Amino acid sequence: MAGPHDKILQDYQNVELLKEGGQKAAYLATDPTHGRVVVKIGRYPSASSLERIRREVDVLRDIVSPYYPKNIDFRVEPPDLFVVVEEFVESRPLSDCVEDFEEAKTALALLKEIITGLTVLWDKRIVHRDIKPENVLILPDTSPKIIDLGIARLLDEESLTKTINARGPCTPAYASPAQLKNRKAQIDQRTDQFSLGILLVQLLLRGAHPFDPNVVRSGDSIVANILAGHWCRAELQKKAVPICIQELAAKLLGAEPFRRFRNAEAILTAIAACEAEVQ
Amino acid sequence: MKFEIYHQLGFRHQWNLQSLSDDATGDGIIIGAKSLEREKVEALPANLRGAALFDPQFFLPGVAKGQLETYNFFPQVAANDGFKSSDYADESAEISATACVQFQINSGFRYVVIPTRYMAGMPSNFIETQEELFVGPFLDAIAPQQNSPPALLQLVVTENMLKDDEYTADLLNWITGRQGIAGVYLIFESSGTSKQVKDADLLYRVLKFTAAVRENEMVVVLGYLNTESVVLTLGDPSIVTMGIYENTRSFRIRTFEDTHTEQRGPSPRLYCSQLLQWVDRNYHGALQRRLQGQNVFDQNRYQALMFQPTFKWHFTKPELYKHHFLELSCQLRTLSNVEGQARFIMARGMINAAVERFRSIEQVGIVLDQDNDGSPLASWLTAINEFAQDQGWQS
Repeated sequence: MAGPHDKILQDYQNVELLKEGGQKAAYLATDPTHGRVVVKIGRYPSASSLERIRREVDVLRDIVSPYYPKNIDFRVEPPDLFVVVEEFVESRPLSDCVEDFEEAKTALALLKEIITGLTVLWDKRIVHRDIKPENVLILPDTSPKIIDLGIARLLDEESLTKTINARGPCTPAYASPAQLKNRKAQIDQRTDQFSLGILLVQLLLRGAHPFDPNVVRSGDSIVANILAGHWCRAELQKKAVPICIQELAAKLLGAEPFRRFRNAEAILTAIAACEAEVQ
Repeated sequence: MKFEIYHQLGFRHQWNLQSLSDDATGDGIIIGAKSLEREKVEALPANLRGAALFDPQFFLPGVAKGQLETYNFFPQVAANDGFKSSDYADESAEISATACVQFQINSGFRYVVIPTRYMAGMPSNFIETQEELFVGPFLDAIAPQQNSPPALLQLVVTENMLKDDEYTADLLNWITGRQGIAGVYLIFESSGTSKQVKDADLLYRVLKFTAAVRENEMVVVLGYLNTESVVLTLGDPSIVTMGIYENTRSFRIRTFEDTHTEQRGPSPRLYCSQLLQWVDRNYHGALQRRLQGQNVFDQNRYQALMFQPTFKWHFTKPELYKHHFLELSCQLRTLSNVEGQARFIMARGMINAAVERFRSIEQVGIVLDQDNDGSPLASWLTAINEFAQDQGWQS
């Protein structure tokens, strides 16, 4: 049976549907020049969403880093489809394997790698804005690749989200208070630090979300707890997570950006201090 | 961490320099452009410049008061036809910033200070204005310089700004997120009219602000301080300041306005370290008679000179200020030698001792007026106790 994207996919071999949802589909395919690739095809509902996709592609094209999938092609297919072709990465999303990083040492090592990867963006004054376990791919050697820069914010460029929404673009369960309140002036690299704080605690607690009302034992929802600054430090204490790591998580989860780390270097220094302690 | 003591230079700056060299009362100087003409700054010894900050004093960029007109990068001078912020940002900001940065680097100052525009109240466009007029252009001018010392962002925060939690958070987020700066040169403006800061809430908020910036491992220079520096050392600043006349010990924007003229000189006052207060000459006789043998006045060579019968007391006498520097710097050094909780206990001890001293003065019938009494001390204790509770310091 003919598929909706057959015409676009006719130049590839061994096409296999990887994921389909909403207005998008991702295919694994073999490109005659680049080998195994992922072909993402989707519908763009507006000019601004196409511009956002274009920016993500531009960002990825500018980056030469093992921490990001390589972009191979981007084109627009009339009337309203976009096509993004990226290198295929043999990997699992971190959300499928958080328990592999439960040990403090491995959690710190992964965090350090993700931060090193994010530094590539931060140095270009880009904020990812959607760091979460689903957007970190773990390669067979356990090194990470960061994906989905769809809502990344280029601080030096005009915002694409001129909305009057109460909430800024984000995945609410991983969003900083500033994102949830749509306080654009507060969005900078420290926004990603907040999401990293959530991710770190999830690694240490086998996936349990630090702001989950069932984990914190208070609040109505994850979002309400994020806004109230209620997270489960007690669970880390119960698990005898070293105090330096608890403090690292607490600083990453600072309610205001100024309570977090000033830059990547400061986080890496704190991680190094933790590593020395857990050796 | 240990902090340093800098002299806030203004009128009669030579007394500061003499005190520094003769009595070792500090670690460096802050040069105010309004008081020192460019040639004199350039003629300062290199070692002094190496331990100096230059404050361009762009607070009112359209008013080139005093020696400000000797600096070609002062906005009013650089803009030729008069300063207008919108035109300035478009045309002159870059030229002025480049020249000012170059001057600071060539002079060999310890930091490059990025100046600030004074804005009263709590304007909604504060950060944008500072970015557009000075911060952006200055950082752009610093970026290509290979030999630039670290940059300090100057900030004048009003009482209104500090007393609004959200506004303060925005300022802190901005400062701590701005890459390319090593710290802030912070000046707070009190709306009070008394000679000492008596507002516990204001002091507590300055402490919190300072500590928040320091937690980001940034430098904090606290400018225009009077004796409340004893209190503010608990915020762990990098540098605190001392000055001669009141206009270097308390920031008042009116002193930069062209309509402002210096008022009639005040009566001479002497700093008494045990009281943490300056005491008017008129009270000295009563204090000497009623508290004989209790050493209310600090003993040093300036005190010995001033209490000679032939000494003509006047507020323009350098001995008053050199005495102040000697005694206050000694107190500050003692505080600098300890940290955190120990510093809190020491500062509280100093304040409590001063409270006791004032009580004994009152008990012998001496009634000091509000510029000379111990009325600031209760607020100082309140501020440090509250801050200590936040820090988890035990007494």
